[in-house]
Amino acid sequence: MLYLSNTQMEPNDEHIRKLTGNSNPEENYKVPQGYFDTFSSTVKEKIEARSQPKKAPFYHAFLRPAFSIPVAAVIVITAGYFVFFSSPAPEGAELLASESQDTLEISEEAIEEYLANDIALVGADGGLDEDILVYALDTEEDKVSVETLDSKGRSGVIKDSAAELDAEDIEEYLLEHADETLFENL
Amino acid sequence: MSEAQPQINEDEQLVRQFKDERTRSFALHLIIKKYEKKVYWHIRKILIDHDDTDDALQNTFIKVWENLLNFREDSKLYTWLYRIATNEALAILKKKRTRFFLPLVDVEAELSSKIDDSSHYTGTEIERKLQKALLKLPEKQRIVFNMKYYDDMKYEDMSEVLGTSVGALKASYHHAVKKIERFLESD
Repeated sequence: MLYLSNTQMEPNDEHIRKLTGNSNPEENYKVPQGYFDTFSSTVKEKIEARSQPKKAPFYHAFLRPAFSIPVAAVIVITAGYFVFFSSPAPEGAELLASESQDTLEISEEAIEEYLANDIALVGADGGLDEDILVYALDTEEDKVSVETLDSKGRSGVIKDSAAELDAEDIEEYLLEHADETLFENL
Repeated sequence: MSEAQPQINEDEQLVRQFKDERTRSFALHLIIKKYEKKVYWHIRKILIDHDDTDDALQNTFIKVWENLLNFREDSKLYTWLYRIATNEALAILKKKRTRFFLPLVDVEAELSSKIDDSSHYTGTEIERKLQKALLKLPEKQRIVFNMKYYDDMKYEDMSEVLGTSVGALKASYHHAVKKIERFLESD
Protein backbone atom coordinates (compact mmCIF):
# COMPACT_ATOMS: atom_id res chain seq x y z
CA MET A 1 0.00 0.00 0.00
CA LEU A 2 1.17 3.54 -0.78
CA TYR A 3 2.00 5.59 2.33
CA LEU A 4 2.51 9.35 2.12
CA SER A 5 4.40 11.11 4.90
CA ASN A 6 3.28 14.44 6.36
CA THR A 7 5.96 16.27 4.41
CA GLN A 8 4.93 14.79 1.06
CA MET A 9 2.62 16.71 -1.20
CA GLU A 10 -1.03 16.06 -0.42
CA PRO A 11 -3.16 14.26 -2.98
CA ASN A 12 -4.57 16.68 -5.52
CA ASP A 13 -8.35 16.63 -5.90
CA GLU A 14 -8.58 19.76 -8.04
CA HIS A 15 -9.41 17.76 -11.14
CA ILE A 16 -12.51 16.29 -9.48
CA ARG A 17 -13.57 19.72 -8.22
CA LYS A 18 -13.33 21.10 -11.73
CA LEU A 19 -15.25 18.18 -13.21
CA THR A 20 -18.08 18.33 -10.69
CA GLY A 21 -18.27 22.08 -10.21
CA ASN A 22 -17.10 21.74 -6.60
CA SER A 23 -20.60 20.82 -5.52
CA ASN A 24 -21.61 19.74 -2.06
CA PRO A 25 -24.08 16.85 -1.65
CA GLU A 26 -25.63 18.64 1.32
CA GLU A 27 -27.34 20.86 -1.21
CA ASN A 28 -28.71 17.91 -3.14
CA TYR A 29 -29.82 15.32 -0.57
CA LYS A 30 -33.34 15.94 0.67
CA VAL A 31 -34.02 16.32 4.39
CA PRO A 32 -37.57 16.45 5.82
CA GLN A 33 -38.63 19.98 6.62
CA GLY A 34 -38.12 20.98 10.25
CA TYR A 35 -36.07 17.86 10.98
CA PHE A 36 -33.36 19.73 12.86
CA ASP A 37 -35.91 21.81 14.79
CA THR A 38 -37.25 18.75 16.60
CA PHE A 39 -34.20 16.50 16.62
CA SER A 40 -32.90 17.58 20.03
CA SER A 41 -36.27 16.93 21.73
CA THR A 42 -36.57 13.57 19.93
CA VAL A 43 -33.22 12.48 21.39
CA LYS A 44 -34.22 13.71 24.87
CA GLU A 45 -37.47 11.73 24.71
CA LYS A 46 -35.56 8.61 23.73
CA ILE A 47 -33.08 9.09 26.55
CA GLU A 48 -35.90 9.56 29.06
CA ALA A 49 -37.68 6.46 27.76
CA ARG A 50 -34.50 4.43 28.18
CA SER A 51 -33.80 5.72 31.68
CA GLN A 52 -37.25 4.75 32.95
CA PRO A 53 -37.50 1.19 34.22
CA LYS A 54 -39.14 -1.01 31.67
CA LYS A 55 -42.72 -1.80 32.52
CA ALA A 56 -42.93 -5.51 33.11
CA PRO A 57 -45.73 -7.44 31.41
CA PHE A 58 -48.82 -7.87 33.61
CA TYR A 59 -48.19 -11.58 34.18
CA HIS A 60 -44.85 -10.87 35.87
CA ALA A 61 -46.74 -9.94 39.06
CA PHE A 62 -48.05 -13.49 39.20
CA LEU A 63 -44.55 -14.95 38.90
CA ARG A 64 -43.25 -13.38 42.14
CA PRO A 65 -42.78 -16.06 44.83
CA ALA A 66 -44.80 -14.10 47.41
CA PHE A 67 -47.78 -14.38 45.11
CA SER A 68 -47.12 -17.48 43.07
CA ILE A 69 -46.56 -19.96 45.92
CA PRO A 70 -49.92 -19.36 47.71
CA VAL A 71 -51.71 -19.32 44.35
CA ALA A 72 -50.08 -22.60 43.34
CA ALA A 73 -51.08 -24.14 46.69
CA VAL A 74 -54.71 -23.03 46.27
CA ILE A 75 -54.79 -24.43 42.72
CA VAL A 76 -53.38 -27.78 43.83
CA ILE A 77 -55.82 -28.08 46.75
CA THR A 78 -58.80 -27.11 44.58
CA ALA A 79 -57.80 -29.53 41.85
CA GLY A 80 -57.27 -32.30 44.40
CA TYR A 81 -60.71 -31.64 45.91
CA PHE A 82 -62.46 -31.95 42.54
CA VAL A 83 -60.47 -35.00 41.48
CA PHE A 84 -61.26 -36.75 44.75
CA PHE A 85 -64.96 -35.98 44.93
CA SER A 86 -65.80 -36.25 41.27
CA SER A 87 -64.14 -39.67 40.74
CA PRO A 88 -66.62 -42.56 40.17
CA ALA A 89 -67.49 -44.73 43.22
CA PRO A 90 -65.82 -48.16 43.41
CA GLU A 91 -67.58 -50.92 41.49
CA GLY A 92 -70.43 -52.43 43.50
CA ALA A 93 -70.52 -49.57 45.96
CA GLU A 94 -73.81 -48.35 44.55
CA LEU A 95 -75.22 -51.88 44.60
CA LEU A 96 -74.21 -52.30 48.21
CA ALA A 97 -75.72 -48.97 49.02
CA SER A 98 -79.06 -49.94 47.39
CA GLU A 99 -79.00 -53.35 49.03
CA SER A 100 -78.48 -51.85 52.44
CA GLN A 101 -81.36 -49.52 51.68
CA ASP A 102 -83.52 -52.53 50.71
CA THR A 103 -82.49 -54.34 53.89
CA LEU A 104 -83.61 -51.42 55.93
CA GLU A 105 -86.96 -51.46 54.23
CA ILE A 106 -87.64 -55.20 54.81
CA SER A 107 -89.97 -55.65 57.70
CA GLU A 108 -89.43 -58.24 60.43
CA GLU A 109 -92.61 -60.07 59.33
CA ALA A 110 -91.24 -60.54 55.87
CA ILE A 111 -88.04 -61.95 57.24
CA GLU A 112 -89.94 -64.40 59.45
CA GLU A 113 -92.07 -65.49 56.52
CA TYR A 114 -88.99 -66.02 54.40
CA LEU A 115 -87.34 -68.12 57.05
CA ALA A 116 -90.50 -70.18 57.53
CA ASN A 117 -90.72 -71.01 53.80
CA ASP A 118 -87.03 -71.87 53.38
CA ILE A 119 -86.63 -73.63 56.74
CA ALA A 120 -85.16 -76.71 55.04
CA LEU A 121 -81.97 -74.79 54.37
CA VAL A 122 -81.74 -73.53 57.92
CA GLY A 123 -80.34 -75.57 60.74
CA ALA A 124 -81.68 -75.79 64.24
CA ASP A 125 -79.43 -73.00 65.38
CA GLY A 126 -80.79 -70.74 62.65
CA GLY A 127 -77.60 -70.99 60.52
CA LEU A 128 -77.20 -72.75 57.18
CA ASP A 129 -76.85 -76.50 57.45
CA GLU A 130 -73.55 -77.48 55.82
CA ASP A 131 -74.80 -80.92 54.70
CA ILE A 132 -77.78 -79.41 52.96
CA LEU A 133 -75.54 -76.91 51.23
CA VAL A 134 -73.08 -79.59 50.01
CA TYR A 135 -76.00 -81.68 48.72
CA ALA A 136 -77.36 -78.73 46.90
CA LEU A 137 -74.01 -78.05 45.28
CA ASP A 138 -73.61 -81.66 44.19
CA THR A 139 -76.80 -81.71 42.14
CA GLU A 140 -76.55 -81.28 38.36
CA GLU A 141 -78.77 -78.25 38.53
CA ASP A 142 -76.41 -76.49 40.90
CA LYS A 143 -73.30 -77.12 38.78
CA VAL A 144 -74.07 -73.90 37.04
CA SER A 145 -74.25 -72.21 40.41
CA VAL A 146 -70.87 -73.71 41.28
CA GLU A 147 -69.39 -72.33 38.08
CA THR A 148 -70.96 -68.97 38.62
CA LEU A 149 -69.85 -68.79 42.17
CA ASP A 150 -66.42 -70.10 41.28
CA SER A 151 -65.91 -67.58 38.53
CA LYS A 152 -66.66 -64.86 41.03
CA GLY A 153 -64.21 -66.37 43.49
CA ARG A 154 -66.61 -66.80 46.36
CA SER A 155 -66.28 -69.06 49.41
CA GLY A 156 -63.58 -71.66 50.01
CA VAL A 157 -66.09 -74.52 50.11
CA ILE A 158 -67.10 -73.82 46.58
CA LYS A 159 -63.52 -73.49 45.45
CA ASP A 160 -62.72 -76.86 46.98
CA SER A 161 -65.63 -78.40 45.08
CA ALA A 162 -64.34 -76.88 41.88
CA ALA A 163 -60.84 -78.13 42.63
CA GLU A 164 -62.21 -81.71 42.73
CA LEU A 165 -63.13 -81.49 39.04
CA ASP A 166 -60.49 -83.03 36.83
CA ALA A 167 -59.38 -81.73 33.46
CA GLU A 168 -61.54 -84.19 31.54
CA ASP A 169 -64.68 -83.03 33.32
CA ILE A 170 -63.91 -79.42 32.54
CA GLU A 171 -63.14 -80.18 28.91
CA GLU A 172 -66.30 -82.24 28.53
CA TYR A 173 -68.34 -79.51 30.13
CA LEU A 174 -66.87 -76.83 27.92
CA LEU A 175 -67.57 -78.88 24.78
CA GLU A 176 -71.15 -79.41 25.84
CA HIS A 177 -71.72 -75.78 26.67
CA ALA A 178 -69.51 -74.26 24.05
CA ASP A 179 -72.40 -72.59 22.26
CA GLU A 180 -73.83 -71.19 25.45
CA THR A 181 -70.44 -69.88 26.57
CA LEU A 182 -69.89 -68.21 23.24
CA PHE A 183 -73.35 -66.76 23.38
CA GLU A 184 -72.81 -65.42 26.86
CA ASN A 185 -69.45 -63.95 25.94
CA LEU A 186 -71.05 -62.10 23.10
CA MET B 1 -15.37 24.75 4.21
CA SER B 2 -13.37 24.43 7.41
CA GLU B 3 -16.42 24.59 9.71
CA ALA B 4 -15.61 21.14 11.06
CA GLN B 5 -12.90 22.51 13.36
CA PRO B 6 -14.68 23.89 16.42
CA GLN B 7 -13.11 25.97 19.15
CA ILE B 8 -11.63 23.51 21.61
CA ASN B 9 -12.27 25.77 24.59
CA GLU B 10 -15.93 25.81 23.86
CA ASP B 11 -16.03 22.02 23.76
CA GLU B 12 -14.14 21.76 27.02
CA GLN B 13 -16.70 24.06 28.57
CA LEU B 14 -19.52 21.88 27.25
CA VAL B 15 -17.93 18.74 28.66
CA ARG B 16 -17.51 20.44 32.02
CA GLN B 17 -21.16 21.49 32.01
CA PHE B 18 -22.16 17.96 31.14
CA LYS B 19 -20.21 16.51 34.05
CA ASP B 20 -22.13 18.74 36.43
CA GLU B 21 -25.40 16.93 37.14
CA ARG B 22 -27.36 20.19 37.45
CA THR B 23 -26.45 21.33 33.90
CA ARG B 24 -26.08 17.94 32.21
CA SER B 25 -29.32 17.98 30.29
CA PHE B 26 -28.79 21.53 29.05
CA ALA B 27 -25.20 20.71 28.04
CA LEU B 28 -26.44 17.82 25.93
CA HIS B 29 -28.90 20.15 24.24
CA LEU B 30 -26.05 22.54 23.42
CA ILE B 31 -23.86 19.72 22.11
CA ILE B 32 -26.68 18.48 19.90
CA LYS B 33 -27.39 21.94 18.58
CA LYS B 34 -23.73 22.51 17.83
CA TYR B 35 -23.03 19.22 16.07
CA GLU B 36 -26.29 17.78 14.78
CA LYS B 37 -25.97 19.10 11.22
CA LYS B 38 -22.28 18.30 10.80
CA VAL B 39 -22.69 14.80 12.16
CA TYR B 40 -25.93 14.30 10.20
CA TRP B 41 -24.16 15.05 6.90
CA HIS B 42 -21.19 12.91 7.83
CA ILE B 43 -23.56 9.97 8.37
CA ARG B 44 -25.82 10.79 5.43
CA LYS B 45 -22.89 10.62 3.01
CA ILE B 46 -22.21 7.10 4.26
CA LEU B 47 -25.78 5.80 4.48
CA ILE B 48 -27.45 7.92 1.73
CA ASP B 49 -30.93 7.20 3.16
CA HIS B 50 -32.44 9.78 5.54
CA ASP B 51 -34.23 7.30 7.84
CA ASP B 52 -31.08 5.26 8.37
CA THR B 53 -29.17 8.47 8.99
CA ASP B 54 -31.76 9.55 11.54
CA ASP B 55 -31.40 6.24 13.42
CA ALA B 56 -27.62 6.50 13.45
CA LEU B 57 -27.68 10.15 14.52
CA GLN B 58 -30.07 9.46 17.41
CA ASN B 59 -27.94 6.53 18.54
CA THR B 60 -24.87 8.72 18.37
CA PHE B 61 -26.27 11.32 20.76
CA ILE B 62 -27.76 8.68 23.05
CA LYS B 63 -24.26 7.22 23.33
CA VAL B 64 -22.89 10.68 24.02
CA TRP B 65 -25.37 10.94 26.91
CA GLU B 66 -24.41 7.53 28.23
CA ASN B 67 -20.64 7.85 27.88
CA LEU B 68 -19.60 11.48 28.06
CA LEU B 69 -19.05 11.22 31.82
CA ASN B 70 -16.19 8.81 31.08
CA PHE B 71 -14.82 11.00 28.29
CA ARG B 72 -11.08 11.59 28.62
CA GLU B 73 -10.34 15.24 28.10
CA ASP B 74 -7.06 14.53 26.35
CA SER B 75 -9.03 13.92 23.14
CA LYS B 76 -11.30 16.31 21.28
CA LEU B 77 -15.04 16.17 21.73
CA TYR B 78 -15.77 16.52 18.02
CA THR B 79 -13.40 13.74 16.93
CA TRP B 80 -14.91 11.52 19.63
CA LEU B 81 -18.38 12.39 18.32
CA TYR B 82 -17.39 11.67 14.71
CA ARG B 83 -15.90 8.38 15.82
CA ILE B 84 -19.18 7.31 17.45
CA ALA B 85 -21.17 8.50 14.43
CA THR B 86 -18.92 6.62 11.99
CA ASN B 87 -19.25 3.43 14.00
CA GLU B 88 -23.03 3.80 14.18
CA ALA B 89 -23.25 4.33 10.42
CA LEU B 90 -21.03 1.33 9.70
CA ALA B 91 -23.09 -0.77 12.13
CA ILE B 92 -26.25 0.08 10.20
CA LEU B 93 -24.60 -0.85 6.90
CA LYS B 94 -23.45 -4.14 8.43
CA LYS B 95 -26.95 -4.79 9.77
CA LYS B 96 -28.41 -4.20 6.32
CA ARG B 97 -26.06 -6.76 4.81
CA THR B 98 -26.80 -9.29 7.52
CA ARG B 99 -30.54 -8.72 7.32
CA PHE B 100 -30.83 -9.13 3.61
CA PHE B 101 -28.08 -11.74 3.27
CA LEU B 102 -26.76 -9.76 0.36
CA PRO B 103 -23.12 -9.34 -0.65
CA LEU B 104 -21.52 -5.90 -0.41
CA VAL B 105 -22.15 -5.00 -4.03
CA ASP B 106 -25.92 -5.39 -3.67
CA VAL B 107 -26.17 -2.98 -0.74
CA GLU B 108 -24.14 -0.47 -2.72
CA ALA B 109 -26.49 -1.01 -5.65
CA GLU B 110 -29.45 -0.34 -3.36
CA LEU B 111 -27.84 2.90 -2.17
CA SER B 112 -26.99 3.82 -5.77
CA SER B 113 -30.63 3.43 -6.75
CA LYS B 114 -31.55 5.97 -4.05
CA ILE B 115 -29.22 8.48 -5.68
CA ASP B 116 -31.11 7.93 -8.95
CA ASP B 117 -34.38 8.50 -7.10
CA SER B 118 -35.25 12.19 -7.37
CA SER B 119 -37.15 12.07 -4.08
CA HIS B 120 -33.80 11.45 -2.36
CA TYR B 121 -31.31 13.36 -4.48
CA THR B 122 -31.69 16.40 -6.68
CA GLY B 123 -28.14 16.95 -8.00
CA THR B 124 -27.03 17.33 -11.61
CA GLU B 125 -25.96 14.37 -13.70
CA ILE B 126 -22.24 14.84 -12.94
CA GLU B 127 -22.96 15.27 -9.23
CA ARG B 128 -24.99 12.09 -9.31
CA LYS B 129 -22.13 10.35 -11.06
CA LEU B 130 -19.70 11.48 -8.35
CA GLN B 131 -21.98 10.10 -5.62
CA LYS B 132 -22.26 6.78 -7.44
CA ALA B 133 -18.46 6.69 -7.93
CA LEU B 134 -18.08 7.10 -4.17
CA LEU B 135 -20.29 4.07 -3.58
CA LYS B 136 -17.84 1.98 -5.58
CA LEU B 137 -15.05 2.71 -3.10
CA PRO B 138 -14.33 0.51 -0.10
CA GLU B 139 -16.20 1.80 2.97
CA LYS B 140 -13.23 3.26 4.80
CA GLN B 141 -11.82 4.87 1.67
CA ARG B 142 -15.19 6.46 1.03
CA ILE B 143 -15.31 7.86 4.57
CA VAL B 144 -11.77 9.23 4.20
CA PHE B 145 -12.72 10.87 0.91
CA ASN B 146 -15.84 12.45 2.39
CA MET B 147 -14.06 13.82 5.45
CA LYS B 148 -11.23 15.32 3.37
CA TYR B 149 -12.98 16.38 0.21
CA TYR B 150 -16.22 17.77 1.67
CA ASP B 151 -15.38 18.60 5.31
CA ASP B 152 -11.70 19.50 4.78
CA MET B 153 -10.88 17.76 8.03
CA LYS B 154 -7.23 17.66 9.10
CA TYR B 155 -5.51 14.31 8.65
CA GLU B 156 -4.57 14.37 12.35
CA ASP B 157 -8.23 14.63 13.33
CA MET B 158 -9.21 11.98 10.80
CA SER B 159 -6.56 9.79 12.37
CA GLU B 160 -8.26 10.17 15.76
CA VAL B 161 -11.67 9.43 14.28
CA LEU B 162 -10.66 6.38 12.28
CA GLY B 163 -7.77 5.10 14.37
CA THR B 164 -5.51 5.05 11.30
CA SER B 165 -2.12 6.68 10.76
CA VAL B 166 -1.89 9.96 8.88
CA GLY B 167 0.28 8.38 6.18
CA ALA B 168 -2.23 5.62 5.57
CA LEU B 169 -5.04 8.17 5.38
CA LYS B 170 -3.20 10.23 2.78
CA ALA B 171 -2.56 7.13 0.71
CA SER B 172 -6.17 6.14 1.05
CA TYR B 173 -7.31 9.57 -0.11
CA HIS B 174 -4.87 9.48 -3.00
CA HIS B 175 -6.24 6.11 -4.19
CA ALA B 176 -9.81 7.31 -3.79
CA VAL B 177 -9.15 10.44 -5.87
CA LYS B 178 -7.56 8.43 -8.67
CA LYS B 179 -10.41 5.92 -8.78
CA ILE B 180 -13.03 8.65 -8.87
CA GLU B 181 -11.23 10.55 -11.61
CA ARG B 182 -11.16 7.42 -13.72
CA PHE B 183 -14.85 6.77 -13.06
CA LEU B 184 -15.86 10.34 -13.89
CA GLU B 185 -13.81 10.37 -17.10
CA SER B 186 -15.33 7.11 -18.27
CA ASP B 187 -18.66 7.29 -20.14
